[in-house]
Amino acid sequence: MKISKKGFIGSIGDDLPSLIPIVFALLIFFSAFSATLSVYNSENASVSTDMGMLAIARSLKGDSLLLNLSQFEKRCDDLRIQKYPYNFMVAVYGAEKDLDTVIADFAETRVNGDISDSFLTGEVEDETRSYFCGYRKLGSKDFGDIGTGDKSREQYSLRYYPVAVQTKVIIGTQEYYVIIPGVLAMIIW
Amino acid sequence: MVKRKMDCRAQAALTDALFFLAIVAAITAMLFFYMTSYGNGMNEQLDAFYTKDFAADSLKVITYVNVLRDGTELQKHIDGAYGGDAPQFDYLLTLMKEDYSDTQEFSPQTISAIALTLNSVLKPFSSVDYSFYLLSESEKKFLFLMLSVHTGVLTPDDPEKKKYSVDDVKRVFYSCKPINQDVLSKHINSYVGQVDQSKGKISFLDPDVTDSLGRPFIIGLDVWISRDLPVIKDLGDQLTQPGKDFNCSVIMSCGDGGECIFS
Repeated sequence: MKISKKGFIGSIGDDLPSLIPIVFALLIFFSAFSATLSVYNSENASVSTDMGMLAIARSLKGDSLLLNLSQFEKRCDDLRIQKYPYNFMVAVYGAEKDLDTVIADFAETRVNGDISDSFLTGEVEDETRSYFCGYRKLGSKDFGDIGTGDKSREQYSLRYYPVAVQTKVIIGTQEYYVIIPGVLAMIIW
Repeated sequence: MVKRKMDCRAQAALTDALFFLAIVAAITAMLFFYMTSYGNGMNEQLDAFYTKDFAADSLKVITYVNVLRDGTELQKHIDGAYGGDAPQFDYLLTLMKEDYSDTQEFSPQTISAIALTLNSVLKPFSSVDYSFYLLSESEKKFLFLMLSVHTGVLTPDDPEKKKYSVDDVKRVFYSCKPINQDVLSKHINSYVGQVDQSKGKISFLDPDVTDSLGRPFIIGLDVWISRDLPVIKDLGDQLTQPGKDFNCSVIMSCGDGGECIFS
């Protein structure tokens, strides 16, 4: 009995040193596991957003030719009846436009309200409107309202696509309908 | 026997725990590796989709747009620089087809219209350089090659750290008549990194060809991120290589403000 007591502290005391590395190992495993899961989910969300962006842009620009505003608005309406897990805004600029202001233009634009006057305009039934298409999930904020801090604005993707747009130009007193180059800008958040 | 078992029991449990820790550490390292690389391949694939779309869209737009038949700028007409004269519009491809049918080469007005069209289509994407070409399928030579590259003057800021700033940046358009078909792959595409290519097929009517389908050409646009390369600096020099191979002449140069001057 004496001999056996030499290394024996007690049923818990005997296993206590081995419990420390086990608990430590479990801690680091679950921390790494949850971090990996979070990266996995955020990457999947980002990839799905990017794929959505490609699909939306392809639907809107069609064969890269916009013949008139009503054609663009019809494509936009067809897109908007679907439900997306993200918000987006698409606008067309003339090729001569400086694209440095795109973020500011989208920030001042409301999906269901005021639209920046920097976008290219067209006419539908004698009414001049911008080449603009927006979609906002129920309960979500406009791009301009998601904050101006660095972190909040990091959560968006912006892409540009060259398009040809048929538009009216006035030279002297004459009106001409010509196909000019433009840029389709798309932001998703 | 009983004594030994009793003495070693706690140490054995500790060793097992340390083994467990080692295994968990290895699994955690694998998880971290997986975490850092996850999605990279997919993102690269998506970027490739985008750049392919970009190059294809640019080529389509070039073929769709209207230009002025005299090779002047539409914006200048709108601004009234030509005094409100009635301009004549046409598709760029129509001008190219007409010229080819008449003389088997493009007129200076058509070349100006091509340069202006390329400049306005790709102006918003100012960080790229590109080449636009028509390549004869049967004769394996260029019918037309236009290069648009950035040029500038390097000024050393800190020569020890090899830091330079680039001044007087201009976009220069060259119209080239290369002798060989492989000039782009030999002198440009192999040095500029990733090149996004878009190609299509087109036929021009040729009086020498009786076939009603005409002579087939490959119409292409290669786009790459602008880089400072010796080959690009030597494009205008036709006495040395690679300028000799390219056989280029400057058509137009555009400054930062967007104003373009024809040579």
